[in-house]
Amino acid sequence: MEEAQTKLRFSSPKHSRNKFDDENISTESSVEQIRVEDAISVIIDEFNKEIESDPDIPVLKRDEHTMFLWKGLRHLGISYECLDASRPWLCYWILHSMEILEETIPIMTAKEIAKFLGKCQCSTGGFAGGPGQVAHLAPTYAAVNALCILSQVTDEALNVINRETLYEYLLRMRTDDGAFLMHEGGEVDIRGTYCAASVAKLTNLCTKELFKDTPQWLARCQTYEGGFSGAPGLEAHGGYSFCGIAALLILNATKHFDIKALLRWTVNRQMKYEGGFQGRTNKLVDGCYSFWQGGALPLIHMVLCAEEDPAVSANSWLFDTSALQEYLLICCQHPNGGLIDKPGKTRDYYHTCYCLSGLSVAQHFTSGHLYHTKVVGSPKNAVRSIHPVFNIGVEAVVKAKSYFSHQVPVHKDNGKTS
Amino acid sequence: MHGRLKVRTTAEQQEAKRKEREKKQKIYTAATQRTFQKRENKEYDEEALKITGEILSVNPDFYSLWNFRKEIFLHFKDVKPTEELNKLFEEELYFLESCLKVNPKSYGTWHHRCFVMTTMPIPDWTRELQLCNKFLEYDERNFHCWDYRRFVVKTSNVPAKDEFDFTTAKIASNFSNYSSWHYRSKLLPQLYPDSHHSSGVQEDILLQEFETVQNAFFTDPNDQSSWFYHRWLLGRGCRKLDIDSVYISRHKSCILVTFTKTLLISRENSINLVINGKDVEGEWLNQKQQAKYSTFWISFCNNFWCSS
Repeated sequence: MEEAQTKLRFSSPKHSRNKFDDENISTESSVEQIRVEDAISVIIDEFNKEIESDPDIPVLKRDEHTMFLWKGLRHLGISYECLDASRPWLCYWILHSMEILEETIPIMTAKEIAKFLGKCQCSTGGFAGGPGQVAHLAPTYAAVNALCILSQVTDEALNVINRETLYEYLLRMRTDDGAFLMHEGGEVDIRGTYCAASVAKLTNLCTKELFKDTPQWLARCQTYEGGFSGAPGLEAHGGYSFCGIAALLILNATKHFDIKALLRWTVNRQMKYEGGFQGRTNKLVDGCYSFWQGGALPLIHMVLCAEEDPAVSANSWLFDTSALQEYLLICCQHPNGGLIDKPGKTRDYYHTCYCLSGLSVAQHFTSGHLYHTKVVGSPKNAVRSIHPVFNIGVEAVVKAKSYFSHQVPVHKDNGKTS
Repeated sequence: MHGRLKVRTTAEQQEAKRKEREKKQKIYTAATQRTFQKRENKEYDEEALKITGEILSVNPDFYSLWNFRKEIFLHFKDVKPTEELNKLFEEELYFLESCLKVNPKSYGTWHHRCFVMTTMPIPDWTRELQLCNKFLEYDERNFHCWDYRRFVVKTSNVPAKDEFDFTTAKIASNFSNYSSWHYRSKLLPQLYPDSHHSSGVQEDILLQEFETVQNAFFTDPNDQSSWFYHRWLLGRGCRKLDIDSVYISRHKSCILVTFTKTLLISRENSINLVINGKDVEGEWLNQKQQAKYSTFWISFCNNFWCSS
């Protein structure tokens, strides 16, 4: 079901009323906020002039983004020394962006990338930031996701993953209280738990011994604000909140936390004027939180539906999906391709990936048998829908799950989580 | 900036750039290969520190190299005299500071600093607290630095009162900085504990805080930070599990209880019902007649009416 184009929020004469009012008391935070709003209001004015002659805008600059992505893919391993410990991340950010934009990946390229990711896999399990480096849960997550995306092009992709050593590696990263180290000798935070849960679920390695007490540890990360923090006792944060709820959903343990408090906190992170999301209380809008916060709303929806909450909508996520699309399309597209944090910032693959992921979430609503699409701007702006728990295409998740479902679990206790 | 045209470089300039890049890349690749090799051979020496240091100073996120440096320092700990060892650790702290200036949000760098401080023979914790002050001045929302501060405070037993005063000063200079308010909410229950209160803090202190936060949102009602803190003060963010209300119906032979928080009453997590000094057993179900998490619970008891 598709909805007819409605008037843009940015074009409403009343929109400027949504600006922040510091009541003549300025603080460092309020000065920064007003600076961002001023920059955006210039862009909105220009946009409103343009739309008079071209009613099709805003348009997703598909070709420009694709060109930018291809450029990054070809240069991988040559000129990205500064991200030398995050190379599987670059593969994932670029491949996932291409997937969302429905750009076809040639079979030879897919094989080449799969082979490269294989070189990042450590003999003792897990994937490292680059060949020869130490295994780390973040690039492990990125590599597994990238391989799942590639599995739609070549069957060799999923074959790269060594499940036996991966399972041993995940067990080694586990702490006694059910949390996960990012790498041997490294820090413990909620990212580790999400990465471990995500790869274990995709490769059919979720066991009781691997995630014993993990839901309880995750629940301790929910703060009184409602969001989740990196570790118990810290401040709530958008990226960590996503990790928290996604991990709890994977582990089928959503009883362990306060869903209403998370909903309240998350929806209030959408900015009144900009339409995008901020990561923390009183911080600035950033395009990447379109996914970390916006992508948490489908997850919250799943939990509320499972609880049969009568208040959940049957045709939209619980946030202003059009406002987010306006922010992404009008304020976050770099003219030469790639997407950005906010006006004035440079483009990069991380922001391109998470802005596009957020755009996809905002366009597509699915809940049980219900399906609803709402595309802001040209109908050609519609992108592919993603699976918000893993943040890869729905087809990629299906493919990985069916591939690994035939492989026996490799653990000792033989007891799978429910 | 957007829409600005890039000035075309001449072919010559491009060629020079390419060569320069190639040269840099060669050096970089050689350096990383050399460190991996040295680690493999367990060569824990000054050269290893030097090469890993060169790479880390450009890319502090290269976590594998921090692991290698840890191994080197643990080796030094076994073989070097205390004075020399402490000096090496101090140099490591200076090096870490320069890395943090390149990237103040590098997980690996802050984590390595924790390692250095807990491993070196004579750690100077006061200096670390000052370092936190400095980095929080530069970016008062840097949660890596706030985390490190908590680590310093906990490990070196900084009095909670000092930290509380620090948040007061931080809030005075920018009341929109939510990180300071959040930290304050963690300190109050330590400083003025009261287990009877839902927020765990003494009533008179809460009232003082209420006054402070009221000033903040009277000054700027659009500011999010103070409202969040206000919500915490009122105890709405962290309700204690308690019985909200109890209703007993003789007519329907049942007892209804509502709680302040959702909970699951089960065999493992049961409720003791005592009527007239007698334990009464009964099955508990929620409003949907299910044994699932809820704030509302009903028990249809068949044996307690006759006893009352």
